Amino acid sequence: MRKIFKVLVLSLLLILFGVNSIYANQSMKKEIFIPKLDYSHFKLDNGLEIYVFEDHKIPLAKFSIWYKVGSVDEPEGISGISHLLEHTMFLGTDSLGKNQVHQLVKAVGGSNNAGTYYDYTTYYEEVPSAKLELAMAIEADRMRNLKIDPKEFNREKEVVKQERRMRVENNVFSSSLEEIQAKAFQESSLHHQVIGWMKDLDNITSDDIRDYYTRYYAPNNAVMVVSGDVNPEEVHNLAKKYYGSYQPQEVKRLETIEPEQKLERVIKLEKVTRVPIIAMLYKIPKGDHPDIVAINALLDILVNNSTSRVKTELQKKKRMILEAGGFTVGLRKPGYALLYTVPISEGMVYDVRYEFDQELKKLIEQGVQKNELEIVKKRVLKDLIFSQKDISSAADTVATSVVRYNDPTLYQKNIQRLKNLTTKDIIRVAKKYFVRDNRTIGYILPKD
Amino acid sequence: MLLLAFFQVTYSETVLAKVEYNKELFENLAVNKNKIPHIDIPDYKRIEFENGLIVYLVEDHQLPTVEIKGYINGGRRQEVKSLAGISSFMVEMMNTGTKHFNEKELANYKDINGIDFGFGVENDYLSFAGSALSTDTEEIISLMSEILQEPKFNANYFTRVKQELYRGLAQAKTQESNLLDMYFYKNIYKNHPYSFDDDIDLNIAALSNITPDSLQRFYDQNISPSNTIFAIVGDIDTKRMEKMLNKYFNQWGMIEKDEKQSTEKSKYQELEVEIKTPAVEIDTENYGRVILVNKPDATQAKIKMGYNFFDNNFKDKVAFTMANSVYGGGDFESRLMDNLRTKKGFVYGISATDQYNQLGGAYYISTEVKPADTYQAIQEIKEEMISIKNGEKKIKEDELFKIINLYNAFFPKSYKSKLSVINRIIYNVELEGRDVDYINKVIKEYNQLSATKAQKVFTEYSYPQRFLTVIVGNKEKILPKFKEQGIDVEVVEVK
Repeated sequence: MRKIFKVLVLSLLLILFGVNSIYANQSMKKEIFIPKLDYSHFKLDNGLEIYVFEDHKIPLAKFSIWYKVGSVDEPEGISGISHLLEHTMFLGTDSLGKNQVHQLVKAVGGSNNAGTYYDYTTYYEEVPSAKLELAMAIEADRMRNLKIDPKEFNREKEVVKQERRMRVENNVFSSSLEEIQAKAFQESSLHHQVIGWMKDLDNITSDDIRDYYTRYYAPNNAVMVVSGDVNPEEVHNLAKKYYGSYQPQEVKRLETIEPEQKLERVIKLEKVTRVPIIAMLYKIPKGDHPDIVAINALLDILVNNSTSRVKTELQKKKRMILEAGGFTVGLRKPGYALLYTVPISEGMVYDVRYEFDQELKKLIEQGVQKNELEIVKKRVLKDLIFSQKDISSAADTVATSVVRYNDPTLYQKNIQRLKNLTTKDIIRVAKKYFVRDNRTIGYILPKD
Repeated sequence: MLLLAFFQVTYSETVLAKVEYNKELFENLAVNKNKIPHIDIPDYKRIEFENGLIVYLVEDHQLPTVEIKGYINGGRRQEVKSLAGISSFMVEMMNTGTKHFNEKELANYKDINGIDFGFGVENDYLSFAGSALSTDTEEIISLMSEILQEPKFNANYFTRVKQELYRGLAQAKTQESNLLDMYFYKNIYKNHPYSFDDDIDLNIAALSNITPDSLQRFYDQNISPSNTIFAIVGDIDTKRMEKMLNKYFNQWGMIEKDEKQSTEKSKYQELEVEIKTPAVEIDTENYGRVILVNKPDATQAKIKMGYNFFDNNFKDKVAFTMANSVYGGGDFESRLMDNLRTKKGFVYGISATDQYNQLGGAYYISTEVKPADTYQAIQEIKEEMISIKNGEKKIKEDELFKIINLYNAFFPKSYKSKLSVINRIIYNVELEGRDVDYINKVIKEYNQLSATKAQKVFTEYSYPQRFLTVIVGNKEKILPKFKEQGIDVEVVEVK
C-alpha cells in the first residue's frame, strides 16, 4: 500500500516566530518559506520497508539497503563480526565473482560503498537513474546468495585488521575512545567498538560469518531507501520482483543490559601526544527519547557554540584550553554523550576538569539565558533548511530513524520538541544525566 | 469471475516468482553508456566596483538561504620564510575580532544571526565562505565587509591565538600524516613558499617573528579589493543586493577625506597587490631517494612517494588525469587497488594524485601498510606504473570507458547547485584567466580521449625513476627488508 507522507513543517514557522522576536527592531524582514519533504512508502508482505524520495534535477539515483544489525548486536568473542560481514559481502555470490559488484557499478558509471555503525549496516549504489534495476538486483542477490569462500574470507580478514590498525590503533583519539567506552560500558555490547577487538577478529571463522549473515540479513530486518531521479511505482514494482519471494525470518537479538552506573569512573591513558585531552562520557537514553533534543541543546550551550560557556570562560577568558566540543551517540539502545576539552598543558588537566564542572554547576544553578536558547533554535532551523539541498541526506535521516526505531516521523517529533523546548528543559536534563555518578572520564596524557 | 480469479492467481505468482541470478542477468543490466553532460551556466550578473572588487550575483529561490564563496588572489606564495604561516595567522585573527567588534561581540553576532563564515589558505589564493538564512542577508554582508576591511591585529587575543597555533603545531609533530607531508613537501618544493605550510619546524620558528605589526603589514600588502572576488548565490534580489554591496564595499580602499579640502573624496589608495611568482626549483638529488622518519610507536608504515609535476597550464592535464585514474584512481578497479588490496591484501586504500598549482605541482601515491610489507608495497607501486609505461599492461579501452562513463554520471552531481557552478566559474575566469565555459570544454575533451592517447600521455609523463619516497613508521620493523635489498635509506629521528 502506497502512502504519501508529508513532513509538516508549519511548526518550523512557529519556531521562527519565537526566534523572530529578537528581530523586532528590524524592518523589511522577509518571511522564511520552508519547502515540504515528500516521500512515498511501501511495505512488502515479507516485511521489507521501502522509502522513495524523488528529486529529478539530475539523472542519478541512490539505492541503499539498511540492515538492522551492528556492533551492539555482537556478543563478546565475536566483536567486529558485523563489519567483517560487510567486507565479506563484496567477495561474491553464487552468480557474482569477487569484487564484481564494484565492476558492475563502475561499468554503468556509478559508485558504491557500504558502512557499519553501532546499530545498522548499510550498502548503497549511486547509479544513473536508468540503471536502478542493476542496484536492486545486486542487493537482492547479496541478501540471499552470499558465497563465503574460507580462503577469500581469511584474506579479507587481513584487510579488516589493517583497517583496525589504521583507524584505531594508530590514532590517539580513537584508541583512547575505545578504552574509555569499554570502561563506561562493562556489560552491554557498547563495551567494544564497531571494528571489534583484534583477538576476536583473529578468531572469527567463516562459519561464524555464515550464521550471522543467515540470522540478520532478512527482508523483515531491512529497510530499502531510494532517492533521486526515480519513480515510486517503478521502485515498488522492482522491489516486488527482486525481493517479493524472500521469506521473512525470526530475528533473535542479543539482549544485554548495562547496569546503572553508581559512581564516577576514571581512566588515565598515556599516548603519544603533545596536548592532553579530557574526554567525558555520560550515559544517555535511546536516540528517540524526548530528552535527546534538550541534551543536544545543552551540549551546544555548554561546549559547542562559539559563544558556549566553556569556550568563553576557559578558552577565551582564562586561556586554560585550546578547544572544546561534544556530541551525542543516539542509538536503538541507550547511548552516550561525549564531551571533550583540550587543556593547554598537562599541568592544567585537573584544573580544567574542575572548571568544567563549575561551568556545568553554574548552568544548573543560575539557569540558561533566553538568547542562548534562541541561538540553539536558530542553528537547528538553519541546519534543517540547508539539509534540504541534498535529497539523499534527507533520505538518510529518515532511514536511520526507521532502521533504529521503526519511526519515520521522528524527524517531525524532534521539530515539535525543539519548538516546545524551554530553558527549564535544558536544566532538567543537565541535572538528570550530566552528573558525576553517570560519568566516565578519560584523561589522555602525553606519554613522556 | 473464474477468469478474474485465474488472472489474480497468475499475477500473484508472477510477482513472487524467484529471479534467476546468473552472469547474463547482471551483464544485461549493466549495459550503459551515460550521455555526455552539459553544465548549464546559471544567469549571473558580474559587477566590477571602482576599487577593483569583483562580485558575481546569482538568484536562486529554491530555498530561503544565502551563500557566499570568495577568493583573494595571492595565498601562501606571498609569504617569506621568516614569516612562514603568517597567512593562516592573519585570517584566524581576522575571523576572531575586528576594529568594531571584539571577540565576544563577533562570536555573538555570528551565533545570534545563524551566520557561518570562515577562511581557507591555499598555495595560490585565500578563500572564504559564508552562509545564512535569507532573512539574515544584510547581517552576513555587513559581517563580511567588517571582517575583510576592518581587521584588528593588536588585539588582546593575539597572544592566545599565537599560543593555540603553537600548540597545534607541536601536536602536529606527533602525527604521522603531518610528518609524512612535512618531509615530502619540503624536499619537493625546497625553499619555495609551497613547502611552508607543511614544514612544522619552520612554522614553529617563524611564529616568534609574527607580531601584530607584521600581521598588519602582511594584510596591507596582500588584501585589497583589487585582488578580491566573491559570488553571492541564493534567495536574493540582484538590484537590491547591488545597492547593499555598494553601501558596504564601495568605500573599501578609499583615502580618508582631507578635512581642509571641500571636494568629495574620490581617490583610492594604491590598491594593486604585487602577486609573487617565485620559481619552483627541481632538485634531481631527490630522484630515487628514500627517507624514513622513525616513529617507534607507529603500528603502520605511512608511505608518500612522488615527484615534482606540472603547473596549472599543463596542456595534457585532462588526458593525464583520466589516464592516472586507471593507474591509481582510488576505486577498487584501479591498477593499484586491484594489486595491493584485492590481490595482496596489503592496503585498505591507495591512490595516485596529480596536484597542480600556478607555479608548479606535485604527483604522488599515498597509502599505509604493515611495516614488514613496506618494501614490497613500494616495489609493487613502481611495477604497476612501469608495466603501463612500457606497454606491458597498456590502458585498455574498457578501462578508460568506465572512467569516462563515471565522470559523465557524476559531473552533473558535482555541479548540481548554482553555487557550485558559479564558484568554479569565478575561480576559472578571475584567478586562472580561463573562459566561462571551461567546465564544458573539459567535459568535451575527456569524452574525446582514446585509450591510445591516454596510454601515450601516461607513458610520456610518468617518471618511476624520479620517485622521492617518504615513509613514517617504526624503523626497526621497516629497515631490515631495505637492508636485505641493499637500498640506502636516510633515517630521520624526530626531535
